[in-house]
Amino acid sequence: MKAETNYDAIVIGSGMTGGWAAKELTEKGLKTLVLEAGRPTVPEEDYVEHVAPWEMKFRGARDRHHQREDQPIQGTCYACDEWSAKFFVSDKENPYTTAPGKPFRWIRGRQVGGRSITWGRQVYRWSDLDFEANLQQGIAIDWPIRYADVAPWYDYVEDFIGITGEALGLPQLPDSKFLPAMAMNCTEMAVRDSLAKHFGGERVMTIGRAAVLTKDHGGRAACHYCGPCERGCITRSYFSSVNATLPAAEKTGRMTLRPHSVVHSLIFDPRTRRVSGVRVLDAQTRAPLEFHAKVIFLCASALESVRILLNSSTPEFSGGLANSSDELGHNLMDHVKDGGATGMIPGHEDRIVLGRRPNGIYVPRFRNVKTKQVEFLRGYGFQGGAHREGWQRGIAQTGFGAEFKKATSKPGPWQFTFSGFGECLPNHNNFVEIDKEKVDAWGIPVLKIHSEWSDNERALRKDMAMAAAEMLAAAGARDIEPFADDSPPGFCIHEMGTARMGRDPKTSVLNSYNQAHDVKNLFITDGGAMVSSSCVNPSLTYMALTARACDYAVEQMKKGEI
Amino acid sequence: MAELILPKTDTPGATDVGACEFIDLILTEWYEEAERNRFLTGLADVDVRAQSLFGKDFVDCSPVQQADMLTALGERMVEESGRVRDQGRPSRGIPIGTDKNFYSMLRRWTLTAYYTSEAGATAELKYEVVPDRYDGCAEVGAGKGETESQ
Repeated sequence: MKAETNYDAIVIGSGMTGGWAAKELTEKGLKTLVLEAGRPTVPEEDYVEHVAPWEMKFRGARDRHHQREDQPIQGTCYACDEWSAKFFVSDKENPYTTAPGKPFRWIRGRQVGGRSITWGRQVYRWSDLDFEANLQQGIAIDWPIRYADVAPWYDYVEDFIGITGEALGLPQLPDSKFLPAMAMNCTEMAVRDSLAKHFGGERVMTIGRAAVLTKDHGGRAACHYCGPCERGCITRSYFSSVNATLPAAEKTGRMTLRPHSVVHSLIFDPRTRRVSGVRVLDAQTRAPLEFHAKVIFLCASALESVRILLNSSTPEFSGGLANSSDELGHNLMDHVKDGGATGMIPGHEDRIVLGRRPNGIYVPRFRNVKTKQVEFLRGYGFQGGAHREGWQRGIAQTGFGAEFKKATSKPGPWQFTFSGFGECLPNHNNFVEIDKEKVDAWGIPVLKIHSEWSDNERALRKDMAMAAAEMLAAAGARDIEPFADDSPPGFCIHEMGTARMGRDPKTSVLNSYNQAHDVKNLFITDGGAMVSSSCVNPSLTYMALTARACDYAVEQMKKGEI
Repeated sequence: MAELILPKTDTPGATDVGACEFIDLILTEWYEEAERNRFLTGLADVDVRAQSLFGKDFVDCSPVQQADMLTALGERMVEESGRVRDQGRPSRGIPIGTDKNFYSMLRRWTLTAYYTSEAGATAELKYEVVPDRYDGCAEVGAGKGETESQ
């Protein structure tokens, strides 16, 4: 039997945005091929969230020698642990290079579901404070859209995802459509009340907004508080493409999902000025394949999608397909993190947390909202929370014997952490290009990444440490330790901006509907489309923009424009 | 030594849960050669010290002599390790960065072996794989699932 090679639509990538494109396009009637570079994900076999530590060879300490050999970069991610390492790529098979003195940590997942299996699940809407910042400050280019353009699409995706959180009515952080909020623990409530008292309403602490169900929703079960979502979820209680969007696409009967399909490049037809298909290498057999469609959605992540376009040069587009602007691959952003503080909060010694809440607290941005900072532009939010120290504290202690054992088995003092996530400014000089000297395991040229923090991001990180320590002091914390670690870009795993939208084809790659200015049947709906980075976690916005772009693409197809 | 740190009480001790076998695994399949040598040298030094102080190997010393030696090892650990910086993340994870000192290494893997074992996690920590509830303000001793195993 000859496999079908002609489709209405091809979606490249099956993660956060690919899953949405698959769901939306198939539900709108398009026969859709979803190409995934990695292996299939079978929840019943691959999810390991209920495997106890005593069932693991190294008891959670990771297979260190294997990680050093095969995942020296991926292994730096907290989620790439002994259970979940299989959801992260082999660095050996998937190399990339960086400019001298400019480290970049590229954390990747290649399997059906992509990084939506291991993501942090924090979801926040952007506001016009974010969408208008570039214009007002004369930085990069203006967003071609505003909050009002995206708001109905936030509503739309949130209805399907199911988001837990608390409505605050803050202009800088619009509320989502919430399922019931998760509870704070008693120490978090005490800190929240102290902040309300000491900071005149400017600094507000709320429970995190997360794509985790607090009640049954859309055929998926409420969270059972086992804790480590990044290992999978057999009750499908947190949102991932495997848990939610891909099953919805499958249900239409119009999706063909093809794992082990490494996309090499796109096929551009100069006559029609359209992409006609995709060149694929079968990951297992290495056989070259071609698939064709009327419309193509790139949803492979900000860096992988751009890599495919840079590897798809034509005589006309010698610097990469759809790159008449010369902005493709440029303006790479990530969030700046690893600034904050920890401290010990006295009290509540008679209280303990039961269950493992897969969510923390959130302090919405308060810098440059009502009052203006002189040291930096834009701002950051804090994530974090309180927990009682566990048995690990006993390692660095000197006690031993029956009394020590009894004391160590009991919960320790309450520790509180505020950890900042700061906005990164778009900068043309942070960019990726094809490294002509190096190929991956399939012979495809890899990316060379040029990225570094600017003074603005460094100033934000410094301020995170100061403000977090100040807040812990206001909450009566002891042993406060501010931190501002010099972690490289990439490590927040929020890379974006490499194929930005804009009104002018001379300065942007995509129009306001994620459609390539140069190639009308090509859409990029992953993080590549972002014009600025806000300080909030970006996945919710990627998903809303994907659903919006699918709606537009199908309308254009009906009108015969595509 | 592991059993001296976490002895059998009304719950199992370190040797009951296989701490020694787990430390063997760390020595053979986890540590780098330099770390393995540091550990083994440190272990041999314990007997050298026991011989010079009490004229016998550590295992043959009296409980009081053994306790004196562990106390001395603890004092040296604090001097050599300094203050251990917490990783700052309110979630799972085992502290890293204390492997400069033999006794710290021994304590790390003894506690890890014990509290991530089925007996240590369930009998001592009341750990449950599926709690099926969240209560952020429960009374201590109110029920199962009191502290993290991992």
